[in-house]
Amino acid sequence: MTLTIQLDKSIEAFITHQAHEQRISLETAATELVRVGFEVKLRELHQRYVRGEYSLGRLAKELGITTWELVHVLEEHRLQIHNLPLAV
Amino acid sequence: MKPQFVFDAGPLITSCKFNVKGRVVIDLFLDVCDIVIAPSVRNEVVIAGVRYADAKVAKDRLEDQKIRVAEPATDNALDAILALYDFGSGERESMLLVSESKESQFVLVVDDHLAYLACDRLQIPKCFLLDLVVRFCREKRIDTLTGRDIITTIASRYPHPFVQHTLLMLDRGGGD
Repeated sequence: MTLTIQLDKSIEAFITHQAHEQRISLETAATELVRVGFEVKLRELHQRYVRGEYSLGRLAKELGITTWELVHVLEEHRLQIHNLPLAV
Repeated sequence: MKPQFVFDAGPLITSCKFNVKGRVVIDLFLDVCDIVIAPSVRNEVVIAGVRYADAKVAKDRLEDQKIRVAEPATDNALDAILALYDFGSGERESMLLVSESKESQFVLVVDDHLAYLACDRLQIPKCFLLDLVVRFCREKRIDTLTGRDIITTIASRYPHPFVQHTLLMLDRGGGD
């Protein structure tokens, strides 16, 4: 997917800095930032799932994917697939 | 007549992913029970079946009519309650399906904590996939050795105490 978006000044500055520091393109730096953002959001929503606040279907809905895709995404990110309580 | 179970997406995915004795677990279940799924669960299988091998297992069984799809009736009162929990459409339809058919002995197979609790409060018959295996062993539909194999094979999808408890249930009269 290719998107054209307007960035906040601070995000633009961060991406420019990252691109310069890591000697990568602005596109690569922006893509990496989006990837990290997704990872953070996924873990945040997953925590709600693990705590039993969300069902598996709700988590999939929040992420805009099917439950089948979700299970594979959780496996890829090595995240707990079930939300059953763990004994301490 | 085989017992009838409505599989929510979670247990369906688990059953289609793992193999025991050279057979996909879902096929071991289909030998001894009828499996029904809600339309939303079917739609996800169709979408995912193109991409994932385990979803293709389910898709093939749907096409072969080994897994049946059933449309839940409208129940606005129950739907309003389920909306409070904001379930996914598959979970919501699966619960509606079992709720409307209490006489036909549908049982919902569900591995989700929140969905299980909601079913309990709504007196919707439900069980974990692990307990389905125990039931089949108790009823001698599946021998205990195969039951144990299934549990140990799918163990990675459940908390350790749940798995150990299930194995103990099988050892203490779960089956043969």
